[in-house]
Amino acid sequence: MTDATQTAADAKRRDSASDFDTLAPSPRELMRRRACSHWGLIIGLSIIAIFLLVAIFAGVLAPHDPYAQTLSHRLADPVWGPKGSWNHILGTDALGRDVLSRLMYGARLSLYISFTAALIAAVIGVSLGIAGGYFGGKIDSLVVYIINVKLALPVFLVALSIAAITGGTVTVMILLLGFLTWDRYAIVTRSLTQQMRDQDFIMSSLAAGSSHMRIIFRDILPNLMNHIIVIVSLDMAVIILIEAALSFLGLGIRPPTPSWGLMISEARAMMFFKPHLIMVPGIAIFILVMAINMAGDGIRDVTAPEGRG
Amino acid sequence: MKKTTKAFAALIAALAITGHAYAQKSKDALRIAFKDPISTTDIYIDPKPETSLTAEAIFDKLLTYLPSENAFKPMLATSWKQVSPVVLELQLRKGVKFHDGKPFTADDVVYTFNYIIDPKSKLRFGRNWGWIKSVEKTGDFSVRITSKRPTPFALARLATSTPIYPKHVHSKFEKRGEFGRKAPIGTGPYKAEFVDPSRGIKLVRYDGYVSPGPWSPKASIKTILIQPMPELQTQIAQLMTGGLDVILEAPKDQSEQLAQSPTVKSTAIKNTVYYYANFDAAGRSDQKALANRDVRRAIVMAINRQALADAVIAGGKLVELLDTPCTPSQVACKATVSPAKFDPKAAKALLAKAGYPNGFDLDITSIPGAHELAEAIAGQLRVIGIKAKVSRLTIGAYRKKQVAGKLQMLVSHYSSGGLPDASSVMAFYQAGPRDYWRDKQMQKFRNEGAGEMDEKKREAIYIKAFNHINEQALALPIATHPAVLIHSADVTLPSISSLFAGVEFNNIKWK
Repeated sequence: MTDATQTAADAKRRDSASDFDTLAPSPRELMRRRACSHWGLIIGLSIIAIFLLVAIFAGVLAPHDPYAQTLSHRLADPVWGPKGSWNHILGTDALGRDVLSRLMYGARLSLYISFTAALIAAVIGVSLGIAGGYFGGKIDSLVVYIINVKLALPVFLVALSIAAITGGTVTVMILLLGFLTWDRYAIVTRSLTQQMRDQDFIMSSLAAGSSHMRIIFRDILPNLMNHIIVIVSLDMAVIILIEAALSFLGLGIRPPTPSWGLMISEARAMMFFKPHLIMVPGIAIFILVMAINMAGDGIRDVTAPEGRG
Repeated sequence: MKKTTKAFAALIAALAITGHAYAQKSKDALRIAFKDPISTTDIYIDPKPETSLTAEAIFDKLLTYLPSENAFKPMLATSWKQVSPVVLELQLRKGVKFHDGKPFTADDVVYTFNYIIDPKSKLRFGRNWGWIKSVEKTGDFSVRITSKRPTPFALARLATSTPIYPKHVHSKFEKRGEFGRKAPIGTGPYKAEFVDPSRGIKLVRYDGYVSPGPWSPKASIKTILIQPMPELQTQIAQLMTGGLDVILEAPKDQSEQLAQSPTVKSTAIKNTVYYYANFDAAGRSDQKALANRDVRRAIVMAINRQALADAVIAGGKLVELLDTPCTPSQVACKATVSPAKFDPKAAKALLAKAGYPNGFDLDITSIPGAHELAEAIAGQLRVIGIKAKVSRLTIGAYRKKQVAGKLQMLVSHYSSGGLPDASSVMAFYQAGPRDYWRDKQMQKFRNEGAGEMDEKKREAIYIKAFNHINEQALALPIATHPAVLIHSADVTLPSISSLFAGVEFNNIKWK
């Protein structure tokens, strides 16, 4: 065979290979396509993005200082009320503070607490889960024991008691909720790591002389990431609800810090007469929690469609 | 949304109107809700504001204080005489019968006092009667009370939460605490038909009641039904739908909004309760800035008491700003120096002069009933740079914090225990664990006043004490805190009471 014939044959092979690539998109491309056509994910992420922007730029967007009170201008109607004005779009609360501004700063607090607490929970849960799942044996027995102890704890009652003893500051809330919600991460990552540790790619890594730490961080953790993101999203929703409930009961964030749970708690006294004061933060919590759940479900569908159902 | 709001208002109005078609006037039965759990009618065992209402209805005291006349009036005692600084003699009313038909005599008085001064009784507020040395019967209808030391507020104490129990009933209970639940028999205008934690309390008019005078008439309403209902919103819903006739302790906004309904009224009642703020002048808490007089004065100057009285405190025109940590209706309650005037600019300058130009973090503790006021004050302090957070505590948690010396600033209310005498507040300055300020001058004033039987001289001592409080900004008297009751328009209530939690039931009438 001449060189020219050889070159032509190579070119043909290359062409047919490129035809094959076009027909079978990469996993990343497949994921992108699934994401673009997943309305739940798009809507969820869009809402979260809006809340995030509001939270980050609350200082610029909020029309008033959330702490500034004008006692002579208490319980002003929202803009749609009979005496409403655009100066206080959502009206004022019982101490004459702007409800919209407190709502915006409340979003900052809710997202900050839920994200950092979920992160703490993820670090604790994933560390335990991987350790138990990967090393097995006594370490796994200890991890399972710790998980069982944690599962036996009634989260809300423990949170109530500790918040009552220590008092409600943002740091306490974050640590408390972080340390009380890690079990889901541990259970999921332990079980997935157990399935993963006997697979060929881990065996190859071990045979190639990789250290356990390298295998955990380079081989196992990246494969768990999708699942962890899904749990973080669900956990954030749970944490937002617990924080709101604690603040509602007077054991969470201390007034006058703007917190959605506190806003509902304080508006409770006026629920028959100024229902919007309780409805506005209530709706905000509902929308954010729903959006986070939609986004979490969406990420799961997009990254691991086989897990749907 | 306007339509929604209107529809909601219409629904409330409709509920109110239809509800009150079932109002209990026709049955001559008044229904009242109690927020706290109901366990007894015994005020010695359960010294709660709500218990004082039922105890007052079922039992009689020896005498009472009439705040409208600023005078003591006879009840079971017809007359009294201070024989010496430590001896008080009382003549008792004849012809009075307990609810079970047995006659009231001096034995019952002696028995009751021996019970309450006995340390073995372990009463929570037993110290209230700690000044009594002995009580002796000097006849079938006369007694002599001997005190351990001259006690200027002796009459005031006898007129406040000191009911007389029947010896023949109370002494039969091995566990004395069961008396107020199982057989609360007294000489008062109402007899208890049942006391049950789940059903509540049923009081029925005692037709054999001997009225000592117009200040304590025979009951007008035949039956009073007290229902346990811990949640205020539930109470409001019940009132609107005709399931309830009276709500006690209604906050400002609810009382004003509800009173707009034609079938509901709100009545403010003058009493001995007031709002105040305390500062950690002794510097025991984590915030040492408060040990500085200028800092405390700056805080006082940043608090707009008039705005708080207008916007946050319920009671309308009955809310009065105070210069004293007591109310004007109490004996010896006067000051000639007022708290520093509201002036946020000067307050900020004073704070800077004290070394805090950028303010500082402050923990304000509040107890139930003062949470909203504390939050409003926190908002006012932000104007001068003090970043205050409010710790909303239960009474129990507050006491622990107080005993531990961790209170930085307290916003609270004080009923004086209903005691119509300024000595009630001076007791807090007695050297000991309850003295939060540890101010030597105040301890001296307290000791001088406690033994002074001459009312004018005692008043002069207390004037110096209250002036000292204002000059040193040890505390800030804010305003009176009238009891505001929301009730069916069918009910008429008096505008003044010797009780601090509400009103004497025998003074309630149908319209």
